Amino acid sequence: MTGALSAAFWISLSVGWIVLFWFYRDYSVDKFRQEMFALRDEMFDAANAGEIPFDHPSYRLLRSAMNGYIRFGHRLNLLSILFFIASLDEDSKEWIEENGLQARLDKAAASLPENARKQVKNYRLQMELLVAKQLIYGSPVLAASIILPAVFTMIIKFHLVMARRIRRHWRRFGGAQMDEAALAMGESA
Amino acid sequence: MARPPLEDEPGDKRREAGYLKQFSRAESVASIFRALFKWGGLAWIATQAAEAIRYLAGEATTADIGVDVNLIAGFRLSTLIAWAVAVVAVGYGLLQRKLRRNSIERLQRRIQALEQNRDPRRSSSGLTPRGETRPEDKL
Repeated sequence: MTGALSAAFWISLSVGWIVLFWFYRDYSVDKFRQEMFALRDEMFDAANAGEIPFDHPSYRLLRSAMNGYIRFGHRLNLLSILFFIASLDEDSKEWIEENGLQARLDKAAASLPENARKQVKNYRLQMELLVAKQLIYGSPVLAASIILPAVFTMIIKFHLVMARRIRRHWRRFGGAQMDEAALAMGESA
Repeated sequence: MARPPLEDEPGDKRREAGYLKQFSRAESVASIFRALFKWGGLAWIATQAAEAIRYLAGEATTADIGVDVNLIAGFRLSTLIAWAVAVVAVGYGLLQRKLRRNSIERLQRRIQALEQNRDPRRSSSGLTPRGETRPEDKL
């Protein structure tokens, strides 16, 4: 009986492993892309309603960054980001800080009316939260831990103030560099 | 006199291309670690399963079967049902995914054309018409 149970356990575990590292990973990438598409559509609808001009640089930049994240969503994971950030020298980090998506968006959004500026800021916040969420849910190891994704979901759902704080840390952690890579990818599409 | 930069002028293109290359390199290194963990884990589980099966084929099984035939039969039937449900569920999931991709393919061209009317400079994500990763973007 012990042998049968043990064999069943290991075979089940191998199937679970395949589901987690292959099927779940594919699913999480599709889900991330779907959510980013939905956000991009929402922004398109806002522009269509005349709230943000279609040809405004802030709209174009944000859309390009979203396109970049959609396109390389399958490459988005914590390990890659850590290696990417580690490979950047101080000069590059400084350049991104001064000329990256955030700086360009701030500059571009200055010419928008107050309401549109707020909207652009909000879409950017949502985009970054989606990316941060994907880094946690998209990792089979972290997702399998259940607790971390659950805590993250609760923070996002119930505490938008906390979400803003996460965004600040996310930017310090390497969000700005990721945004720059996504923007470059989106503009090259 | 140098041309004043346009508001929506993309940043330093050469730098951006450099970051893309750097990111791809980082991703390649990360993918080696991920593959090692993924395949290494699977290989280790497979060896454990093989060991358990070898044990099952040996003396312990014969001794155990004598203990309670009904219990073993019940265990086997419930395991069989559980496996059948799991296989059907995975198959169902895969069929649903295929259906979703068919729908994306059917709808995306129309959406793209309609949006292009409103925004002629509309940019695209660059995924395939079925919403999948482009082959050249795969590592």
